[in-house]
Amino acid sequence: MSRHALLIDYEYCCGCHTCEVACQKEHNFDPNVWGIKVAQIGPHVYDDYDAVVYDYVPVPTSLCDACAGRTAYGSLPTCVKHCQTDCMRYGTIEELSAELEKKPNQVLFVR
Amino acid sequence: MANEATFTRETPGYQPVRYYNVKQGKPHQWEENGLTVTRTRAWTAPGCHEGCGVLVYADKEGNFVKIEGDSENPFNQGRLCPRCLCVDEVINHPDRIAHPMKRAKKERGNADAWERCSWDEALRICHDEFQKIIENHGGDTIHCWRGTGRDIIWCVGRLAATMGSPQEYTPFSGMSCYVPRLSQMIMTLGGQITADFAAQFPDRYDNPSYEIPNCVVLWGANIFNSNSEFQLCGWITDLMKRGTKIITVDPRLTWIASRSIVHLPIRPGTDCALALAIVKVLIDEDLYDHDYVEEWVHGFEDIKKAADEWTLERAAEVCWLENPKIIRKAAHVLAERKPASVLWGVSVDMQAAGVRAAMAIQAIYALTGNIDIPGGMHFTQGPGNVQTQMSGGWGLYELLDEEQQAKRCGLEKYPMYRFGFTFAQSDEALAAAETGKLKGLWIQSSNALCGGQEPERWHKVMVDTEFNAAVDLFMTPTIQAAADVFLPVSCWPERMSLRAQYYGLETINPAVKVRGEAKSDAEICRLLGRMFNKEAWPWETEEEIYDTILKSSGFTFAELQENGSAYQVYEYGKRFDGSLRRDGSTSGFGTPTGKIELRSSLFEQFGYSPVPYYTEPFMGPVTEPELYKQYPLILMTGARNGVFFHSEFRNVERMRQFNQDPIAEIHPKTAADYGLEDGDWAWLENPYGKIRQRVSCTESMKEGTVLVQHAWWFPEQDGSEPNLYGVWKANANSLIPNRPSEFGFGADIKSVLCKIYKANEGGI
Repeated sequence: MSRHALLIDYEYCCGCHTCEVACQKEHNFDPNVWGIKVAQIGPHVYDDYDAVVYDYVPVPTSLCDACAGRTAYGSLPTCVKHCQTDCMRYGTIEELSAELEKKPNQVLFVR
Repeated sequence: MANEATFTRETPGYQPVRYYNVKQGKPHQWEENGLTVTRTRAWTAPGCHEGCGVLVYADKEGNFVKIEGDSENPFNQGRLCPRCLCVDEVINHPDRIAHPMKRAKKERGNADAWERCSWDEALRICHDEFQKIIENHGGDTIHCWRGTGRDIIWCVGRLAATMGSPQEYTPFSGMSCYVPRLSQMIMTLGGQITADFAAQFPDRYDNPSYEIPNCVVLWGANIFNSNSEFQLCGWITDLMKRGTKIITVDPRLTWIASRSIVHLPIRPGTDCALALAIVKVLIDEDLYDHDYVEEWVHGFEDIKKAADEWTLERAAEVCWLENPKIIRKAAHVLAERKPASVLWGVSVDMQAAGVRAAMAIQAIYALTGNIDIPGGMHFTQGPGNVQTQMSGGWGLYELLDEEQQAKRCGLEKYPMYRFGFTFAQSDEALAAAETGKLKGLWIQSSNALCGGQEPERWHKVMVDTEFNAAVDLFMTPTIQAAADVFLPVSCWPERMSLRAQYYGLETINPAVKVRGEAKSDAEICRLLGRMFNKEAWPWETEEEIYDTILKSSGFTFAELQENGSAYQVYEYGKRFDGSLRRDGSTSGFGTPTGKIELRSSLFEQFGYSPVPYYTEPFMGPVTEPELYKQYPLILMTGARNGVFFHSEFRNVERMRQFNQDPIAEIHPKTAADYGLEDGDWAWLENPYGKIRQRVSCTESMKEGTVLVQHAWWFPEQDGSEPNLYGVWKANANSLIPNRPSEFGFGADIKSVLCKIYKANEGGI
């Protein structure tokens, strides 16, 4: 069976905390325990390069089980389902790797 | 949509209403793996603007087990925000008050003086004390406060009217939330328009009559933190993925600003100047839609004249924009990328020039021909015509005689309040209170000491009344300071209600057992209302109220519950079918000229300027240059963070962890100018007051400004007077006066001056 992964299109992650809280609630984690955590880069204004860097990237931790208890019954992982900007995908490494080809600013997390 | 995809409902005596068939596979409640699943909508309480579709899972005993977004709900399509995901931590919060309580009047402010009592006793006290006030001073001396609570506005308004009071309002200056924009739209369009995200169609962006906007302007609306009313941030990214480009007007370099093709980081409160400069480019460079303007716009020459002085250079200087050319670029993008819409936020309202700023912004999308077209600015539609019954005005004219109606605070000073608006004007209500005309308060989910400007003034009048009663989930600074009776309210998963605003008409269904003795807002008002006047509250059950509210929709509550989401059929081109007209004309907009009035006949009739013009914030670098030397920063406030809802959720650890302390955001260079480093505690001070917040340095801020968080209180602290959960310590509103515009709509809430300096004391 092919392994599953999470594809994050961080062009669209707005840092809303939904994935973090959804994960905590799904796994009955305490407030300070993270199965996924959003990293923030910026905002930085680089005048010399005429660039602005401002990104959020949700990063699954070692506590992430890709919601095995949900996917076994055909549901999406809770972070993927509830994501407000719909910037996460769950699937096999093969199918998500194909998605990576299609646009920049994406990362693939594999357990 | 083909005909078979729609159906018609009709109640005898009402117009038939046509709805889309919304495909929702299951009924409102079903069993799944030993759990009961209830399809419902999240509205009040705790507070929220949206009403997202959710599935709530409960065990056999009715205990909450989990919540899921409802993927079959067209509005949120399964998505949820963090607050909804932890609603159980509100329902089951150890500090939630689940039984009625009373306290002797002399014990106001004493957190230890509350005694549990029965509902019978609590309601009897409320009735008898308010009745005394009605007899001795008149019902108009009872002020009825509410918060955001979208499905409970009618409860507060109707109860107020039942007690002979026209004073139903939210205490904050200039009613500066949507009402300034709304008043402008009613005057110049005769209806309400909003950015078109296909939310009126169950099949959303795929609906054949919809067009994907080529451009959306986010004007003073950081929707990714706020989910501003009836609009979700995910809709913006949905459109971006479909090719929409974004223009952002925001002093801050927000996340979405970093992903916009144009970002206009204007000085707070200068929106009207920017809008007029864009209008000037559209006209001078001949970028406007000639056919649309010819046919549908009144006052072209007048708006041209009004904008004439707003050269790019002048606007850039006033708005503090380094590069004047970006204003020109914004105008070109807007003209070239039709259909385009403007999602405008509460920042437009929170300025004394707000109504005029709204007029100028509207001129932009009128001149570009974007009003009443698919993917542009479309007219909203209240589903099934239930909006009157869901508003605070349900009862005002029916239950009050003309003499009492005329006592509504603000009517005399601000004539536009007669024009479709039914609430009292907050600043005038405060003025009345300060001259002894406030004798009783009904506080239904309003935390005025956190949300109202100059809370010290509100505090003084609140504690001085004859009787106050409050309805809420938790003890708040406001209730602790002033209430004599506490009535515990149920959360939305515990109760029935209606979700009815723009397009979707839906039931809110009880999903879990009610905590303790809590009751719904509607039930509390029904029980108390009947003690005053059974004819005004003829309903034997709560459900009967909703049957009455729903009559014009063609549904009963039970039928709507069975049906699922009911979306009324939506048709574009309302200017062609006469539906906007009240005079029987067969086409045109709902204005005296039948056109979009960029020169407004009604504003003129009310004695105001018929065209927009810019005025500086009353307390700013231009108006108060001497004061500006002493207070050299512009103080912004009110920005949302997504995990709090105004003063709510400070007591929910899972939300508080994201924002432990009150945060003042400032650019690192500005911070350095004042010897501040990230994480320092700092005093923020101006002639109105002095508060303490924690400095967060971020390049998202515009230099020379500071963004102060609003609505802070500290539920973990001592609740008794004088501390009142620390409500005075970090309260942004202590720095902002009650000072409305000439319309009575809008006030300079986000643009006063202040200074900042390091606090030697840590913590709060």
